[in-house]
Amino acid sequence: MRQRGFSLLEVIAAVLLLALAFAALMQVAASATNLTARAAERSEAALWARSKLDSAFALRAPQPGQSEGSFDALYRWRLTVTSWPGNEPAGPARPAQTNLQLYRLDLEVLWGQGRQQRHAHFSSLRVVSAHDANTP
Amino acid sequence: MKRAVRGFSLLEILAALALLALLLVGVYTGVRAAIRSVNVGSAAIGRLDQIRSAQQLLRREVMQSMAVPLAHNDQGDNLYFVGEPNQLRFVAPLPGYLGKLGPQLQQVSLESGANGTLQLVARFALLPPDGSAPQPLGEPEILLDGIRSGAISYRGLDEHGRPADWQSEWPDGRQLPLLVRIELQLDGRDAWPVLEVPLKVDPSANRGAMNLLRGLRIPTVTQ
Repeated sequence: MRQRGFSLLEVIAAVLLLALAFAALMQVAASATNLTARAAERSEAALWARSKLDSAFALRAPQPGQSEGSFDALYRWRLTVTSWPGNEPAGPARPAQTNLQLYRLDLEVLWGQGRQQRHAHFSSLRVVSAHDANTP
Repeated sequence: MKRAVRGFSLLEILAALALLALLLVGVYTGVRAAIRSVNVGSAAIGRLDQIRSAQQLLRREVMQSMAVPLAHNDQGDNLYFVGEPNQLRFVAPLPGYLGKLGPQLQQVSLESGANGTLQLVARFALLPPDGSAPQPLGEPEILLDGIRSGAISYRGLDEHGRPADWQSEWPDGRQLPLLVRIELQLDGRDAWPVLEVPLKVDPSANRGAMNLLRGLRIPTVTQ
């Protein structure tokens, strides 16, 4: 016999190999979809954060401290306001004659529950003239 | 029967066909699932892009609102801002890449669109320097469609200079609000993060001594 076909065992092995490769491919596709969903969540968090940081203290002067709340059923926020560059003597010297005060706004956006919890951190600086800060 | 050429038996062929069929079914479902997830994913990305670019445009334009009169009231006072529950009008420059046409009268409104949903529409108009009626510039642009419901609200300072509550209508067009908020409920699973924009009036556009954001508190000289 010059020509010999494949045995059933060989064919099954080949099919199995193909199935494995295909499964791996599907895994990659699934994780790509997953990553897309995560990226979308992050984008949404960034949109929430942008509105929050933009509108925070538009009406009144910032007060150092922490506040928190939730945007909607999914996204929560925590805002920390500190005066910047801080009051410690080691910090860069602040010009004495200025009536401008800088505040650092740190916004943490959290979403998801338990081990699935994710967060994104945004920070911004806000300059306030001391005159404005003193008016109630 | 010659021994050299021996074909497959029917049973073997059937087994091979069944195996092949199983294999093809598996591949087909896999490919179909992949195609579906890609379609769903790109639709979601497209929708998110739409939401994000609508927010970016609205934020940039509302933020740059200028103290340029867009109308007059009965007493002949200049009106700088018109805010209603489903539309707002203001004057702001368009981004540079759209041409150097200077400040435009912009109108953003919620209008009914296809299938009983609402859509967010932006209209632009040139403000002629002689005070005649604004000339529409191009076709209305649909910023976002598939909106179930929505509202625009405004916030400013009251007559004592204290922050007032959110209002669904901006009562005094002679002043600009401090904050504008656009809340929308979208069709489907996508969410519209509430858009809040602070107005940053360009001081050079403010010719008078009054600060439009702080109300009409003209510093009077008492001596």
